[in-house]
Amino acid sequence: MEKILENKIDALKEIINIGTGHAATALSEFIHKRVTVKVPDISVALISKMPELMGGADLRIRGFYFTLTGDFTGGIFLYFPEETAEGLANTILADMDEKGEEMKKSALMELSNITTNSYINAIANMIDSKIYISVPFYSADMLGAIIDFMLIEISQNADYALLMETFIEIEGEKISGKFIFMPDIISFNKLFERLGIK
Amino acid sequence: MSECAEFKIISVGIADYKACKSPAAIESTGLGSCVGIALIDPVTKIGGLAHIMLPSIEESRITTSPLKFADTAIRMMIEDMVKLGANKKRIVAKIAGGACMFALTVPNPAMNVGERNISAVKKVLQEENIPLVSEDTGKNFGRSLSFNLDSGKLKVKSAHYGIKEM
Repeated sequence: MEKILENKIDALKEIINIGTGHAATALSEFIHKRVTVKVPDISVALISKMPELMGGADLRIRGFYFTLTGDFTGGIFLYFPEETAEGLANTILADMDEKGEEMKKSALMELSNITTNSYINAIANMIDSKIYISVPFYSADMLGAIIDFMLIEISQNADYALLMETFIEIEGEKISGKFIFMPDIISFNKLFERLGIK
Repeated sequence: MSECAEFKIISVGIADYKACKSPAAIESTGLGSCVGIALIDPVTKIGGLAHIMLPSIEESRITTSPLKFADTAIRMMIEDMVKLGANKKRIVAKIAGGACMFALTVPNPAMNVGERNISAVKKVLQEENIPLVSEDTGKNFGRSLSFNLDSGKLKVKSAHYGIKEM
């Protein structure tokens, strides 16, 4: 039993590692800087502990949520702490004279689109599936407030959530972001099936 | 029973509630679609704050955490307050939260659970004959709550619109 669980966790790590790796490459090409990826972190925790584990309920973030449909359903959430988002927007808009709030927002939307699509497409290719990604839903607010609908969604089926997070770091800057990949239960089972883990 | 000790500031996480007697402030941080329900008996200054995630335990597939739901959490909190000495007939309610944090171009029930939470909370309060004296609900921003049991004031902080007291 434990062995199976271990295999499953290793498989998930492998998958999100590949996803984030591709996302980092896409990000690197977009902002012309070196981007590194940390080893993914997978933990199971009570839903009520999630805001704390993700950085604190009152942390100011900019978050991008995408719904996933096709062979695989669920969602994926990319977020940056406020200062990081600000720094990223300025990097992208370095050549522009005008850096208004709307400009920053659309630059970050584009960045989230590019990186998240790379992430999901890499996973889809690996498990030979078709996954369609929605446009990003954007919110700039407190972390707890932005993520609670996701926790609500999970909590309809469980008291615990699987937190699969990956950090991306940009060289030379104090910039980091996180991807949270959240397939629903049916998709999890499909995922393990395709990977040959029962 | 979630009775709290004699702390000045008590914090309530997601899917939880705390009830106690003044002097105390009960706080909860970062509510989006969730709803915060502040109840107080102004005479005994016994109050509580709940942070619920879902409308009803009856509509749920799993029922192991009753504090997640508006109907069960509110009723349990009232019971605790009465045990502490509150008179149910005097209890009044203030609620905040139930936002939809994302601009939705197409209807998405999962992302718009806030609205359903607000109506579930109001329904339970009505069934329990507890008057709703003020609310700051809906819209598209997150809220943090601080409920002062001495004054009965509920402070609603938002990242974009400052502090509102009600």
